Amino acid sequence: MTVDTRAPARTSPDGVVRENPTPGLPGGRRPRRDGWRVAAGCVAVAAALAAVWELVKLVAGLDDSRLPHTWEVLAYFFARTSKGDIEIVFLLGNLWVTVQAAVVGIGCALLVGIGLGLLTAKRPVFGPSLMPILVLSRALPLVALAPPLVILLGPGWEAATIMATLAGFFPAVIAVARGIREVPVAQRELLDSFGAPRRRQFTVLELPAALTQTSAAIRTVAAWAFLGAVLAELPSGTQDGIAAVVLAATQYYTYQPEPMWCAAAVVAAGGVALVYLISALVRWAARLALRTTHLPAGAES
Amino acid sequence: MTLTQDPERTTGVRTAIEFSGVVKTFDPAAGPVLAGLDLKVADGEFVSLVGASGCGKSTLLRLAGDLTSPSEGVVLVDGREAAVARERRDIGIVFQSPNLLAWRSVLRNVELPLERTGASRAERRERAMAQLELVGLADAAGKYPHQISGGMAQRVAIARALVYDPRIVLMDEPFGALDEITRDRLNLEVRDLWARTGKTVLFVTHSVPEAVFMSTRVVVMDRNPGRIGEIVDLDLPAARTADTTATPEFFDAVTRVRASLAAHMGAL
Repeated sequence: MTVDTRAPARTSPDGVVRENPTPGLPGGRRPRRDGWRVAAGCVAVAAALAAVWELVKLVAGLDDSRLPHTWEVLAYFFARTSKGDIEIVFLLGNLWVTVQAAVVGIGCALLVGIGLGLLTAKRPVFGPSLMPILVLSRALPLVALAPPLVILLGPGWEAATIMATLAGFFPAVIAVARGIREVPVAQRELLDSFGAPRRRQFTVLELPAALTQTSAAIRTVAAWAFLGAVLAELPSGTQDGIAAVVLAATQYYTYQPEPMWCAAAVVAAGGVALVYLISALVRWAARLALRTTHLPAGAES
Repeated sequence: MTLTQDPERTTGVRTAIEFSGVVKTFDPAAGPVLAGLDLKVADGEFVSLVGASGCGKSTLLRLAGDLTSPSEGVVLVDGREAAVARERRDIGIVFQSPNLLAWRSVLRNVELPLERTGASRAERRERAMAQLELVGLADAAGKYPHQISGGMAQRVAIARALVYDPRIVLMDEPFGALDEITRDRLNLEVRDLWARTGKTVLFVTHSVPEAVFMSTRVVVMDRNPGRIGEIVDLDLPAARTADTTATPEFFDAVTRVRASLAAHMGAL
C-alpha cells in the first residue's frame, strides 16, 4: 500500500472531509501513475546523493583510502568476504538479525502503547500520574541505556528487543490516548440518541479512533524501534546484527573503507524498508479490522 | 392565532412530548437557560421552534432526547420519562452536523443503530437500503462520507435517525449549514417523509419561512430566560409544495410569526 503524502484534505468543523482528494477512486487510493512518479523521484534523489558524494570527494581532495568512489562501494557489495560469502548476502543476513529484534520490539511497543494508552485515556487519575514516567522514558538517553542492558541480559535478541520496545512505545501510547480522547462528543451523543449501551462507545467509536491514530503514528513507532534495535548492538560483545557489522568495519576503515559504507548503506536502506513495510502492514490490518477501504487520516506524532 | 394550545388537539390525540415546569440551568451564575417551560406536542404533530440565538431551542430539544436532564420539572415522552423513551429507541435525533463516521460507508453508517439489536446482517442491510432509498441515496450506499456532499451527508443522517423507526424525530437545525436551494429541497423531502410516516417531529430552526412551511404549529420562544413566548397555529393546507410558499396565506403566516418573534426577542 502506498504511504499517504498527499496534502491534507479539507475538513469541515464536524470532522467530515468534504472533498475527495482523488475523485472517482474509492477510498482515496493513489493512482498508479503517481506511484511511478514517486519511484522516479527516489531514483533522482539517490543519483543526487551520489553526485554530492563525488563532489565532496573532489573538492576536499579525499583520496580513496579516506572516501572511496561510489562505484567502488557498490562493487564491494558483490565481493567475497574472508569467509567466502558474497558481501551483500552476509550483510543482509546480519540485517535480518536486527530486523527480527526490531519487529518483535514494534509488536511489544504497540502492545505496551495500547495498554498504557487505554489506561491514560480511560482512567482520569492514572493518566496524569503516568505522564511524567512516559516523558522520562523519552528523556532517557537510549545510547546510555544500551550497555547496562546488554551487560544485564547478555548480547542477543533480548536486549535488542527491549531497547526497540523502549524506543518505540511512546508514540503508540500517545496515538491510542489521543484517538480515544478526541472522539467528538457529538459522536457519543449520537450513540446515546439511539439508546446504545455505553460499552458500544468503546467498540464503535474509541477503538476505531485509536486504530486510526495508531496507523498514522506507526511510521514513527517503527523508525524508533529500529533505532533502538540498532543501538542495542553497539556495546562491545555483540557480534551479530547489522550495527555490530558497521562497528567492526569502522575498526579497519583505514585499511579498507568500503565494508563500512556498504554496511551503513544496508542499515539505512533496511530501516527505510522496514518502516514502510510495517506501516503498510499495520494500515492494511487496520482497514481490515474496521472493514473499510477508507482509513481516515490521523495525526503523525 | 392562539396563545395557548388548541384544546381539541391536546385532548383528542395522545401527547407525544410534554414539558411541565422545566427549568434548565447550566451555570448558576448566568441564570437559567430555560425557566418554567410548559409545552405539549401531540402525537403526529410537526412542531417548529423558532427564537433568537441562545433562547434555549437546542436545549429544549436535547431535553426531549434525554441528552441532558432538566434541573427542575419533568420531560415526558409518551407519558414516560425521556430516558425510558430513549432507551426504548422511541426517539431519533438529527443533529446540526451529519456526524457520520468517516471510516464507515454510507450504508454502514445507516446500519449503525441496528447493530447489536438482534437484527441479522441481511436484515440490517435491507432496512438500511430501504431507508436510503427513501432519502434518494440508494446509489451512494457504497460511498464514504468524504466522497459525498454536505446535503447528501445530512440526508444520510436522516436515514440513520429513521432506520430504527422511532415514533418521535427531533431535528436540530439539520440544514443550517446548507445552501438555500439544497435546503428547500430537503425541507420538502422531510415534510413529505413526515406526511407519509405520521411521526411526531420537533424541529429547531432559525428560519421563519422554513418553520411556517414545515409545521402544523410554530413555537416562538422568549429568551433570557428561555420560555414559550407564543404558539402560532397554522391553517395552511396539509398538502404543501414549493408553490405553497407563493400563496397569500403563507405570507400571512410568515408575517404573523415574524411579528411574534420580534415581540419576543427582547432587548438585544
